[in-house]
Amino acid sequence: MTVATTTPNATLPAFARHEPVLTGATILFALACLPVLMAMWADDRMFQDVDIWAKPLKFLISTVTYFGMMVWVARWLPAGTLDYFWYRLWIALIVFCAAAENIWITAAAANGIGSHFNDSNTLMSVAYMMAGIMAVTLLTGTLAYGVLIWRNANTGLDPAFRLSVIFGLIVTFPLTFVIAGYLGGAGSHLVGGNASDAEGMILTGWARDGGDLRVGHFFALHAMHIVPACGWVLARLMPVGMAVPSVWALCLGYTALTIFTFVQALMGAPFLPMIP
Amino acid sequence: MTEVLFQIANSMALAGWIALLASPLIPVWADRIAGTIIPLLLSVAYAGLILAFWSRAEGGFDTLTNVQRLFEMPEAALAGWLHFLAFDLFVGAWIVRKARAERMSYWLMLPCLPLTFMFGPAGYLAFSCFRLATSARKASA
Repeated sequence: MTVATTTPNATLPAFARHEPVLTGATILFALACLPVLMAMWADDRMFQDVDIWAKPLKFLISTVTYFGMMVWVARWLPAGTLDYFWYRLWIALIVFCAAAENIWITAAAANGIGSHFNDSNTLMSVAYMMAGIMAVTLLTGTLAYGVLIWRNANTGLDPAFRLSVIFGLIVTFPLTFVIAGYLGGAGSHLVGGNASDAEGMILTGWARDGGDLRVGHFFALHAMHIVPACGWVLARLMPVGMAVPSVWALCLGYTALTIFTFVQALMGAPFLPMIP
Repeated sequence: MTEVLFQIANSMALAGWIALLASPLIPVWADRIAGTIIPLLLSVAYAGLILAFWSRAEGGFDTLTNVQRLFEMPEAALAGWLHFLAFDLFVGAWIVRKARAERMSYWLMLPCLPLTFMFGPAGYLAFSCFRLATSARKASA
């Protein structure tokens, strides 16, 4: 069967037509990686035993994938959504929050100090508190997009893929809210183990000798990417009758996995200690 | 790192100036190379150096002595040098673009471009004088 899982016109002008502000923001944050990469190359400073520029780069890439996904799914918003004043105001607000968040993290790295968990002076304490509020504001993006697409009966999408997109976008909010909220108040992302990121897992840097709350945070935040990606595959491989229950199983399984990694970290156990 | 980057940046800037000198032959590409590509690459390197080293540089902008102290750190001095290279080349490309748009002779550009390359504002000043003289001559014709 033919599955309407993609839109034929996946070009930059098409993306810009579906969501011009977020398309511009995605490009801007992607380009911001360039000077950070340059700084990473030139600077030999470390923070908690890892390259001081690793964190700003990770957050920039994360912002690009976050907005990039929103741009990708914006085509399935109900017709006329972009014309609403409140919608445009809200989009401007979340782009502002993303910019402020990244400027805070990058400026802290430039000054050789911590951003998260930094209570060394009033300015940094207030900045950290504001960053939490802004992160939640930013996170409303996926929730609202999930609900808006859910309410649009005319997406033309295959039901299984549609379910994965809606579920992935919506579940990202509560999972991230809880896990990142806990992480924000925990004082450190590490639970037990050596208080260093030097021996972390390849690419992710996750702790291998103790719990790491960033694992659950990663799975929570990337539900918006991973669930629809898996849903797309299932929708292509299976007939609708099988694909929809399979996507439901995927959604619940993924949510369970995310909660498991969170609980695992809380118990001080590493996620994948065998991976170097 | 600083010495390698210095050499690379100098070579890039030189390539941009050569492209500008060859602009009658390759007008579109000369403008792309010297007006956009190379200044942007130099700007990325500059921004990266500022991110990495600005907070550690001594000095400031308030007194000449403090400005001099800013350049005591090699990485900050390199950033300052990249600033010169990028902006001088950008101005050079602007001069060529402006001259072409106003149908000024290429030969008038020949002293302006090396002057801008070596002494930035002096080249801009020379171009502005030529421009004024040319427009005065055209007006009187």
